Amino acid sequence: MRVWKILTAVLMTSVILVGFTIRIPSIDILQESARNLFLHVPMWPTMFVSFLTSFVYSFRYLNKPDLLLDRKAETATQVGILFGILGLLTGSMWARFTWGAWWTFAEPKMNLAALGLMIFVAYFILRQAFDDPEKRAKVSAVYQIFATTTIPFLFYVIPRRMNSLHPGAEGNPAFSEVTAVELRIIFYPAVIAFLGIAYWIMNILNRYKALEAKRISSN
Amino acid sequence: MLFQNTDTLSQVYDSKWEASEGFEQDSSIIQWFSSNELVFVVGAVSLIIWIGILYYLIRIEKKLSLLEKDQN
Repeated sequence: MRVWKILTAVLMTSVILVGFTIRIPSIDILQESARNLFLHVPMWPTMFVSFLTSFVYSFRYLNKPDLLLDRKAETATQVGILFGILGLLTGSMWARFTWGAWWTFAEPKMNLAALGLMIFVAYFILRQAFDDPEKRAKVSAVYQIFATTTIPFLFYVIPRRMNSLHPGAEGNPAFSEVTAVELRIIFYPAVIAFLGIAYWIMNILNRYKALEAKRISSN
Repeated sequence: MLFQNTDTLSQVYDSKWEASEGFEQDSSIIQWFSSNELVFVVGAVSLIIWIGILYYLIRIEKKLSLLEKDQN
């Protein structure tokens, strides 16, 4: 097994161990649930990077049509959606006990995240519409590129200007200024660990799909 | 019963956590555990879930390597 996978496993285990044992400052309302910072929040950068990976593969596919690239783009999107759904679920769980509701339509970041995710689910519905693999790959590559360009706006630019219960809104995103050092020291390694897990899952899925493709073509 | 209106915003809860009082005489380890006990349960749960997922990932890796070796 590759070194980076072992490192990811070790890093993730340490993040959980240290993250739950480190002393955190006393925070109003959140209290100990502030530790969700290194569990819920990293879901989103992981999702962004997965979709960006898919974006790159889609772009490369349009340059040089190779079905391997299309498979990798599809895998990256699948992993991105997985982490997006996990992000929504964990966020909703956290919101119920800190904001008082599982969901609220008054919260821009929450709702725009759900919307952004729906745009990517549509990618798979689009793929189902085609039988010819090359056509499917081309159209979904184009769609993926457009879909990924909506992400920075939906998740970042719009929510940070609006009134929101998420920290870093109302035009004042300064994360490192409002987040305690003890939490940040766990947060950044957690993002790296979750990115490692995402790439691990992509690696497994791609290898499986390659085996499937070889098996089908040899029959 | 599931959707009781719990007020989680208008008060801070630390003064109600009486389990964190009365431990000044104990050793520092006991104090450390008793001040955060329930969050350690969450930590242990997360660890269990993570180790389970890791085990599953490693199992799949092994199966894939076997299949790849067979095909080549």
